[in-house]
Amino acid sequence: MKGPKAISIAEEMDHASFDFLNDLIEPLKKFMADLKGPRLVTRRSRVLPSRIFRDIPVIEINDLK
Amino acid sequence: MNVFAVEYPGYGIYKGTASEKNVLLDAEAAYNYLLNHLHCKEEDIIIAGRSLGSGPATWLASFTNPGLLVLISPFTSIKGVVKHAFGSTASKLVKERFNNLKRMPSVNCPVFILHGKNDQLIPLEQANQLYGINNK
Repeated sequence: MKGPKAISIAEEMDHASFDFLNDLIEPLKKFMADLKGPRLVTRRSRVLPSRIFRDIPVIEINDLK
Repeated sequence: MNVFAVEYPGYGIYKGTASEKNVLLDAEAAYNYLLNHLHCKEEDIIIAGRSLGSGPATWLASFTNPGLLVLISPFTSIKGVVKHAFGSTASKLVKERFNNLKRMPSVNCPVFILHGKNDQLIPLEQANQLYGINNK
C-alpha cells in the first residue's frame, strides 16, 4: 500500500535558494501531523563515536535547535 | 531530531569518484549504518534529498521502508534535466542516471516534495510528475 504524498510549491524559491527551511518546515509539519511515523521534534542529540565505515568519515552534527 | 549527512565521493575530504554506482552504494551503506550500528527504527528514519540528492534518496526509498521521504527540488532524471536545459538532441547524448521517475512507483512510504516555482534549472513540472505518478 502506498503512503500519502504531498507537494508544496514555494512561490519565491529558485534552484539556488538555500533558505528554503521556512518554506519546508511548516508544510512538512502539517503533513507529518497525520502520519504515524517520525516527528519533527528537536532535542539535544547523542554524540556518536567517530568511526569510519566504508571509508567514509562520519561527521557528527549536534544541537540542531 | 538527529541529522546523518553523507558526503559525495570526490567532494571535500572523501576521496573517490561520484559515479551513480558509488553514490547509491554509499546511500545504502549509510542507511544500513543507521539500522545496524545505531539501531534506529526504520519508521523513525526520514530520507531527505535535495536536487541531485533526490536521486539516491528516491532510490533508497524504493526498496526500504523509512518513515518518510522528503524531496527538495527533485528532478525526473538526469536526462530530464539535460533535456530541459539543452534540448532533446543533447539529452540523447547523456546516459540515463538517477531515474527518479522510474523508481518512484516502487516507493511505498509517505512522500513530501518541496519545489520552487522560480526554479530555472529543474522546472516545477518535474516535481509535479514525481508527485503525480502514484496519484493517478
